[in-house]
Amino acid sequence: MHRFNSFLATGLLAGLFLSASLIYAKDFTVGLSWNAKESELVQKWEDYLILEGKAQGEPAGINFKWVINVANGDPARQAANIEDLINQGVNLIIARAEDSAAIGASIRAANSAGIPFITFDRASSSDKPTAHVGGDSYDQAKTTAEAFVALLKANNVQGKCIELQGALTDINAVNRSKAWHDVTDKSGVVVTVVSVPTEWNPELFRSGATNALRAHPEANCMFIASDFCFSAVQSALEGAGRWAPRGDPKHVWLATQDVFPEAEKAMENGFVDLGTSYDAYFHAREAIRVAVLLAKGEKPDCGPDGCLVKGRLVTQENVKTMPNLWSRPVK
Amino acid sequence: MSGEVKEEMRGSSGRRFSLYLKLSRTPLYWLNRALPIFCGLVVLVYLYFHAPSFYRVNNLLNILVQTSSLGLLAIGMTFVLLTGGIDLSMPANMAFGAVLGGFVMRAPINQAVWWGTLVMVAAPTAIGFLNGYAVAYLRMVPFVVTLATMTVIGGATVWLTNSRSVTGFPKPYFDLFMARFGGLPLSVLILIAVAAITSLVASATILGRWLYCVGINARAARAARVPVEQVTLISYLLAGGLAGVTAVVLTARLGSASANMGSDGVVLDIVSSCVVGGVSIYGGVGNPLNAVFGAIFITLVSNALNLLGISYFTNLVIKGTLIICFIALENLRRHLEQKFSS
Repeated sequence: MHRFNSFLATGLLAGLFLSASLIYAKDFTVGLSWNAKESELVQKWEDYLILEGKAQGEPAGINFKWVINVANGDPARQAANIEDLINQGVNLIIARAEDSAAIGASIRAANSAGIPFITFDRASSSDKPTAHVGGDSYDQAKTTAEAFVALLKANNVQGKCIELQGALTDINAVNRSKAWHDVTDKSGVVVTVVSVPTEWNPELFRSGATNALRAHPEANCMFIASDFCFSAVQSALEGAGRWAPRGDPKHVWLATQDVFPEAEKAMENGFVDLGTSYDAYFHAREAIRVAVLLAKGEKPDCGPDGCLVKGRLVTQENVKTMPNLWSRPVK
Repeated sequence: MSGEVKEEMRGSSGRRFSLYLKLSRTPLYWLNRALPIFCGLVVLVYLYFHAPSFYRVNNLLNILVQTSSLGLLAIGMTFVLLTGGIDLSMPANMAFGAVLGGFVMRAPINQAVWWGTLVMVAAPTAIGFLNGYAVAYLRMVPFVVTLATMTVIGGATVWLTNSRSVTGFPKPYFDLFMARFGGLPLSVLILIAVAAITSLVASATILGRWLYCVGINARAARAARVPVEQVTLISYLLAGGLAGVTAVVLTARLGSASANMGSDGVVLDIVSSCVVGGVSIYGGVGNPLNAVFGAIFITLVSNALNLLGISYFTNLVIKGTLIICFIALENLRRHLEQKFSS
C-alpha cells in the first residue's frame, strides 16, 4: 500500500510537472523574410536562428515556430511577402531588407497590425523598427582598415588600393566604405586609387576588379567589401598574374570583410592578409535573445543603432585558432 | 451596318457555333475546360482548411494591391505582344521613371508632386517611343532592341542614383496614391479603370482591330492598308506609358524609388501573367483583361504558397510547373480548334 502510494504520488508529481511545462511553453510564430538567398551566409543565419530558437526558447517556455519566405532580390516582392506574413497573424517579423529605404513601408504595415518588427543585418534608413539586430558594419570595416594600415606600415609598403564596394542600397555597404575611407584617407600609408561599385553581383566583382587592375597597374592592395564571392576576385587576380601569397613580389595585399569559407581558406594559405568576420552565429543568437524579450512583452535593450554584434579581426596568424568562426561548422 | 457586313458576321458566328458543336463532342475538349476549374476548386478547399487566413478580407485586398503593379505592366506588355513584339525593358523603364520623377518631386518647385508624377509617366513613355521607333521604322528586332534599352536604362538609373534609393517624397504624394475610395486602394481602382479602357480599345475600336491584324500577319495587314508602323509604335508607347503609371503606384507603395525596382525577375512575372492570361507570344491573340486575370493568378499562387509555408525552392518549382500546365492546356485547346475547323 505504501509503495503504491509512493508510485501514485510520483506519478501525480510527474504529471503536474509535465502539464505545467506544457501550459507554460507558449507558441510564438516568427515570420522570417529574406531578401534573397544569394550566399551560404543567409542559409547559415537561418539554420542558426532555428537552432538558437530552440536553445533559448525552451528554457524561456517559448516554442518558436517559423514561417519563411524569400523575395528573390525584388523589393516589391519583399513588401508583398511581409504583407502575407502580417495576414497570417505571425507574432514577430524578422526581415533582412533588400532595400533599406523601401523596408520602411513594411515596418509601418507591421506597426499598424501591432506586430513587432526586427530588421536583421540591414538597418532601415527610413522608418524605425522595434529593434535592429546585426553586425556593426562600420566597426567591422574600421577594425580591418586600422589593422591593414598597421600591417602595411610594418612591411614598409605604401598602399595604392582598389576598393570593391557593395550595393549602396545596402546600409552595410555604405558603412563599410565610409569606415574604410575615414581610416585610410588620413593614414598617410594607404591611398584608394579607385572605388568600384559591384551591386553585390559576383560578375561585377570579377569584371570590376579586372578593369581596375588593368587601369591601375600600380595598385598593390585591395579592400573587398564582402568576400562572399571571393572566387570572382581570385579569378581577376589570376587573370592579371597577381595571385600570389604574402612574401611573393607579385602579392596584392588583400583586406576583406565577412571571412567566408573561400576567403578563410585563402587566408590560411597566405593569399588574403586579414579581414573582420561577420559572425553569423552571434547575430542569430542576439536576434533570438531580442525575440525572447519581445515574446515576454519586454522592451529590447538595444543601443541607439540597434543590438549590434562586433566582428573579430582575423589574420593569417590567428585564422586557424579563432574559435567559433562561422565559416567553419559550428559544433 | 451594311447588309454585307451583317451577312459576314452572321456567317462567322455560324462557323463558330458549328466549331463549338464539333468540339463539344470530344471528351478532351471538356477535360481541357474543366481541369483548371476543378484544380482551382481543390486548391481553394485545401486553403480553407490549411490556410484559412487566405479568405480574410485584408488578404484578398492585399492580393489586389500586389496585383495592381504587375497587372498594369501585363496590360502594357499585352499591347506589344499582340503586334508580335516583346518589350523586355518595361521593369527597367519603370524604375527609371520612378527615380527621375522622385528627383523632381523632391525639388523645391511649385506643384512638385504633380510635376514629379508627370515625369514618372512621361519619361517611360518617351523610352517606349524610342523602342517603338526602332522596331517599327528602323525594322530592328524587338527582343534585341528592348534588351539593349533595358541595359542602357538600368545602367543610367544606377548612375543617376549612385546605387542608392530615392526617398523623402512629399507627404501629399502618399496621401493621394495610398488613399482608399470605397474601401479599395487607389492603385486597385487605377488597375480596374485601365483594364476596362484598354479592353474596350482592344475589342471595340479600329486601333484594337489593327493591333490584332498586325500581330496575325503584318504583310497582309499592310496589304489591307493598315498603318503597320504607326500601330507598332503606338503599342510600344502604350507599354511605356503603363510602365510609367506603374512607377507612380509602386513608388507610393514602397515609399522609395531605386534601380533594383526593375529587377530581371519582374520580366518573367509579366510575361507569365500574359501567357497564363491567354496572350500569345506569337501575336494576334489575347486581350488586356485576361492578362490582368493572369496577373491575379500569378499573385494568388505566390500568396497561397506563402500562406501555406511552402519553402522558397518548392515555391519556384510549383509556380513554374503551373505556368507550363496552363500553356500546355492552352496549346491543346488551340490544336483542337484548328483540327475541327479545318
